[in-house]
Amino acid sequence: MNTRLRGVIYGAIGLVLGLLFSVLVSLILGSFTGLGALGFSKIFLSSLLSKDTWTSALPYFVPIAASASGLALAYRAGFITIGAEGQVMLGAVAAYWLLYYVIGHGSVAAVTAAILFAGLVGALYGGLVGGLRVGLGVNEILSSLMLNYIAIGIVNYLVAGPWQQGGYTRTAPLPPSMSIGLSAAVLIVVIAGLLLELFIVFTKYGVAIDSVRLARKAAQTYGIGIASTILIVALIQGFVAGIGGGALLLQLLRQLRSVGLGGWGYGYMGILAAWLGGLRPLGALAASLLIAILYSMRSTLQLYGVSDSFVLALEAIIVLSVLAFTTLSMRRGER
Amino acid sequence: MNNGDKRPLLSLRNITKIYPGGVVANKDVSLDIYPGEVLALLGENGAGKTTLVSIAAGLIKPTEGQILVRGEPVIFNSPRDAMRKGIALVPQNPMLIDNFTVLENLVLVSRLAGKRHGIRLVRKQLEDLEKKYGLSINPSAYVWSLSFGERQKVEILKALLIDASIVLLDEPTTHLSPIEVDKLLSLTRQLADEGRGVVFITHRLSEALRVAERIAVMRRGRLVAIVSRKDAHVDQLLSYMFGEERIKRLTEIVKRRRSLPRGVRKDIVLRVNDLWVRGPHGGFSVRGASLELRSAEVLGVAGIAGNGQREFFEALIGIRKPSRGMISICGTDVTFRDSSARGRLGVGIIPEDRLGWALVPGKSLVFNTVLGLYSSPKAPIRFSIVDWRAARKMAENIIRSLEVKAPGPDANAESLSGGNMQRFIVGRELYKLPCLLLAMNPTSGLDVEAAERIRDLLLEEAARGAGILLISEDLDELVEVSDRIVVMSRGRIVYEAHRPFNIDKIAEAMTVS
Repeated sequence: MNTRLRGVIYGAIGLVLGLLFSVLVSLILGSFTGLGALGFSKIFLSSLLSKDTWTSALPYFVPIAASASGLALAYRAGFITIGAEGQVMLGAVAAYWLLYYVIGHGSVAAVTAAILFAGLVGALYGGLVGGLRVGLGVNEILSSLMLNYIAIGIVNYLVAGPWQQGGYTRTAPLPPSMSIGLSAAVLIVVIAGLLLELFIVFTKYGVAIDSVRLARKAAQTYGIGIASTILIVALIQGFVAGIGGGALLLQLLRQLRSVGLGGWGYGYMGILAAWLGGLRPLGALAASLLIAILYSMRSTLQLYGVSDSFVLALEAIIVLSVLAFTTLSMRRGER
Repeated sequence: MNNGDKRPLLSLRNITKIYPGGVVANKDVSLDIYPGEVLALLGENGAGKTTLVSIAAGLIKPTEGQILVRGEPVIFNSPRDAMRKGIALVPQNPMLIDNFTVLENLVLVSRLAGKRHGIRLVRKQLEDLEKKYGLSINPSAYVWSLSFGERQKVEILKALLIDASIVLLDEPTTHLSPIEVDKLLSLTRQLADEGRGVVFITHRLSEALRVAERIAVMRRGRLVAIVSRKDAHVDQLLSYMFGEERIKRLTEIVKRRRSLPRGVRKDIVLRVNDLWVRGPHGGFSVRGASLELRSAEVLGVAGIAGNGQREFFEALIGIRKPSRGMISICGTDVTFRDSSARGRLGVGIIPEDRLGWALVPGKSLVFNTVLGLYSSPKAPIRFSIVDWRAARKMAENIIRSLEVKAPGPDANAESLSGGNMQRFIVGRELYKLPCLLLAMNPTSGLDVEAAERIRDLLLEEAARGAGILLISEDLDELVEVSDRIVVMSRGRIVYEAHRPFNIDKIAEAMTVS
């Protein structure tokens, strides 16, 4: 059998097994919630299948998926950045600045420019991580984490300082003309994910990226530039995350507010989705949807008295078991 | 045999080892080792010799069978159990802790063997051993700074330190110079004369005949014969090792090779001038090497491992920056340029390690074809887009024309045997129609037949007109295929030999610096 097809099939088997296993564990745990196993499973299912859950999940899907598909690319090259969080934030900041302070009116062109500018700023921020790694040998995990804090600092400075509006630590909301619809936002990140997938499968950079991670010395020997490969993935990853930030601002947030040290969390959820998606942009998109749904189920379940931390634990269980089962299954498939 | 009155020190009974994946490494092997004898375990690569002694040393567990030490059945869960029963393995590639000093490594071993000796006592013991066996070594040297031969010395000292009664030497002469080999063989004798049982693994007939009382021959995981040295005949041992049929085939290969046409030597395809290259630890590993190679010529670089060949090779292929000097390939100065510059010039590269250096593990042969051709003009890449269909065809061609045994172009590179991997690599590099082929130990770890096939391919390529630089630790191989041999010692080219080669002179240049 074709190895690629085989990988997909075994991955899918793992996904299904992982979901089944996590449902089983969830039910066992759910029986302790006071609702009983049956009651809990009813609530869980109805919340999972409700239309509200899905429509409220999609706005989260946008930044998570944009982070995840880019991170999948970076991780494939062995470049373990966690900087998507900061790039999403600065993307939002960049889009806000360009639209609100520079262009000042809404139009398709203005909105497009804002999103592209968000991508550009994200790329620069990502490129900084790549450049530090390539030029000075700075570990990308550390530098990107620090840059995330700087991004949080920038947002907090802006909303409490120059961009503050009306006495609160937040900016003025964008007028309705400066916005994009949910479907447009989803479409943007799905297309970006698709393009990344094609980039990996069909361009020579896909070969370079995999070689750099799996056999650095072989890559070096046969003329693949390690530094240039890492820089390329760092820039692309930042670009896509930045676009996600821009789309997030224009669709869901509409204004910037002060943030805690944990940031918005989408970039970090993206890390999970990238691994969960088997380090493939398309897989990362699917995993992002799963994570976004779990994220939005949280509020539905809370209405039924299931505590927030319990839902968080459930999410972690689901993600872990899917990850474990897909890994096991893929490994079996490789034999 | 005069061992009838003695009890065996170590007995292996019906040992079978099947690795996960179904490879049968040992099949029903039974063997006794007596005190005071050297038993040579003879067989070609992949015959199962290393697996057998690894089982005896507790490194791996047998699938079936029993181990007896002095007649008493034992089960080894780890090498520590074997050490405490007095069994020591001197592995082919020393297994020491690089960041420890010699003394620290020895203290560790003595602890593992159950002796609570402090560092001072171990130092004292080490001094005694040095005197007794003439194994001098600086106890406070870090292992990473030692040469291969020195590391092996440390491994032998480990065995002596725990006063092992059974010493298993796994291919101990592989990386040693002729003089070092002599010393090792007499040390081996001395160990046996003191009443130890010694197993000496080798694929070299001459060594087995020189050192052992009894010779056990393994082929394809089975023990095919045990003969005493007195009754041993070279022809018979060879046929035990390889089987009659294969000997016939190999003879034919060698005969056919002699009749190969030679290409016409013209341009200089590689010129190296006063090249200085630093090694991984900062000092100069290559010190002013110079050489010239013409098209259609095979230039062998001989030398004992660790004399700068690796760094020299890495500088030539563009993954290690020289400090000064000049490398020019097909007339282009590439001294300070990376490997992609070599790729564009169509240089073929056959590195020492197959997986991880020549091939990306976990990826298909199609992928690895694209990798190898990545920067070459023959790459199936147009405007940065990979033509996977063309790549697949290339991989199929390579598999077909070089008779690579693989399920197909989509097979995982890792799943191929060493010989087939190397054939694929060579085929891929030949696909570039290289003007220059740089190869380092291209036949190491291959069985005799696979190695001969690779040498054939190199010679055919030279006949086509490529210049071939062959860096090899195997002097026999160099003598067989090279038109010219230079010897590298301590980073310098110290000797140049032309056909017909005077082996003694070359060996001398390798060992005397």
